[in-house]
Amino acid sequence: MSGSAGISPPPTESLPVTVIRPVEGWRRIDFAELWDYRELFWALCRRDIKVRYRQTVLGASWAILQPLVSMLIFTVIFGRLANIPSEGYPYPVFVFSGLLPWMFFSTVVSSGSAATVGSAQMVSKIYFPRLLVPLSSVGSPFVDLAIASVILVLLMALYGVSPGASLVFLPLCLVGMALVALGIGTAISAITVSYRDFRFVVPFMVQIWMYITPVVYPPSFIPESWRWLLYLNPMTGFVDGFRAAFLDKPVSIAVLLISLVYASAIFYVGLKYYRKVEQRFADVI
Amino acid sequence: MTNAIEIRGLSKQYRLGRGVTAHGDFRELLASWFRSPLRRRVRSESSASVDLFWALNDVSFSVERGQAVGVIGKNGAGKSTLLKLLCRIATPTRGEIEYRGRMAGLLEVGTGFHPELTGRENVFLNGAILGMKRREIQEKLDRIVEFAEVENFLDTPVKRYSSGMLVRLAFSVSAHIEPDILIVDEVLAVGDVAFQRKCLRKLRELVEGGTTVLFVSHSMDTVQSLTSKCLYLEFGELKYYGDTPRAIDLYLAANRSDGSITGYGDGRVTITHLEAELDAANRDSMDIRMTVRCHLQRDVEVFRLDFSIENDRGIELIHYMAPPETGIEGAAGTEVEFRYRVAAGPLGSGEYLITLSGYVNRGDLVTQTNKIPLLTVPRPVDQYGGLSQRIRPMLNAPVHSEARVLSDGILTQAGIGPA
Repeated sequence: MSGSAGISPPPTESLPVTVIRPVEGWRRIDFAELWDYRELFWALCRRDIKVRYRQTVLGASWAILQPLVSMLIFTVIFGRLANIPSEGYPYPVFVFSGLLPWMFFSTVVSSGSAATVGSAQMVSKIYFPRLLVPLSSVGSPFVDLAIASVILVLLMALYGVSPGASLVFLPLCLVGMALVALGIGTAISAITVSYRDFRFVVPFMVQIWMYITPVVYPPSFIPESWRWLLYLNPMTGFVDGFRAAFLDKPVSIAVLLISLVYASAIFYVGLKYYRKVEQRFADVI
Repeated sequence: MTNAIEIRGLSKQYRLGRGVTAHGDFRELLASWFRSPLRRRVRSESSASVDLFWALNDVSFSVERGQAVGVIGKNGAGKSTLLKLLCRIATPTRGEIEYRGRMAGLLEVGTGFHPELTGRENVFLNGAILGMKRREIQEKLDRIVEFAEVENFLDTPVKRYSSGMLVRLAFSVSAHIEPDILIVDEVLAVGDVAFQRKCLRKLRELVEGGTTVLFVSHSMDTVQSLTSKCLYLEFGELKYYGDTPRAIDLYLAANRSDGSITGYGDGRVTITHLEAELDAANRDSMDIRMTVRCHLQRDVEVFRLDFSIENDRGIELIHYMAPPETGIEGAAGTEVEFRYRVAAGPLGSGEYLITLSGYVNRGDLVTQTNKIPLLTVPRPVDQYGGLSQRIRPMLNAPVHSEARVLSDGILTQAGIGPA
């Protein structure tokens, strides 16, 4: 080691021992190792963010335009033509505040799903906790969400809607959505390594999922006797919670907590599945 | 354990072909569920045993700390598999690996480099992938950049780098990880000669500093100069583990062909005959006279042969690229003969091997031989006057070529030209 000339290397006995053995079946999620590699997590996030905002001509405006255009379309179709109720808020504000968390969720799911196959070169050439590849796909959509939230605030000011105390629930909703999105994205990411055409299923699945989540309509739009079905979807609690946080609607803490438990379970199962399949990546990818 | 690496009964099994579970289509999986919904679709060892093969079979060895060990063997001998298992990229099927300290794998340089990011950003990204902490990279940044000789381009996106600059920067990051064990896979085959030397020097420095190095290469010369012990693998099995010179001799002996022309091609042209003789007027000017005959299976245009001559240590001495204007045209069924006189200058004693490559049109490869023995330069009577092969690379030896069609064809070109 050229840099440490003069310093004698530590005795062999003091060096940490690593043992590699074949592993069968389910493996534990090594959270300690993930923590050890946290700098790589940030490095991957930073990479995605920099590349996203440097490569596109539109830059940051992309994060604004996308939800804004969707908002306009949905306002015309669902707000004007279909006359879907919006709990007393102006429909543009209502739908925009639902679209932001949804777009965050769907971007994390789709980029997480594509992440492992997209990093094939890295996965087949170097060791690091592979889970970081799909997990780090949360970084860039998060920045998008932050930028778009500024627009949401401007839009609220324009329509005279003011936020209130419910805002304290915002972090909880963000964490919850990230957990669900990462759990799903990670699992699909592992599946696409073995079944490449599974990626065609993802946009389709996300699209359907949006319509069973109260993004363009309020939960109250569903008849009381069927509404419980809506809450089987963990995203209901978080999308509605995000909207409630900004628009100062009453937040149901019970729904949020149950959704969080739900989200953690999805996250755990997704990661666990990834770990199980992970060992074969280098052979298959 | 006081050894740096200990490997016991290491085996890796791969499955050939494509089962339902290996990189298949989701569509196929759905279809098979639909056809027989109750069957368990788990890979079962017995049913698929026909397409299984052992890329590495029951390999055991240990490496002392601070030792440089070469890994040699033909393509498919299991070298890469061994490295992948060591680097934890793939998991072993059987056996155990135990090592002490920080291990870094250099299976490829520039893993994870992103073209849109600047050199500096890529150093941090690549460093993080290799397991370095941000602070550590910060500290080493100057040394990394200096070694790579890219100081002036540090804030330029790497997509604007020349390939040489990119490789230099990438190697430089990897070389500064300062691991206890370093695994290197032929990455030195990149970059220009000067940089390759620099890399080798760096590796030697690491070894002298106490780093344990495992080094895979096809260049026997490099292996010999860098390592003291060698693992020689063949068909996934460890054939020999010991002194480097002995391992290299065993490897070279096993890979000498019997003189028949073997190779591959797309069926348009077959190389049927090769003969060569040494025309040594004196020791300083030796000519190789060579005749190659080819059989044209199809009509071809602008057919010509390139060749590369190397010594028995794997060093390429002569590389001849035939100019397209010397190419000839011939109808299917024709025999074509090429004659060459290579003014090779002084050649060291020993065996020389040749690889012939046939091209048509604007450069479509139609056939290529394996390395075939060309000739042996005898050791001079005065033993001490003999030149060692290693000191005489004649990369730009003048080559005179002449091509003619032997039967049923029209000779369109008989070119004579320098290499």
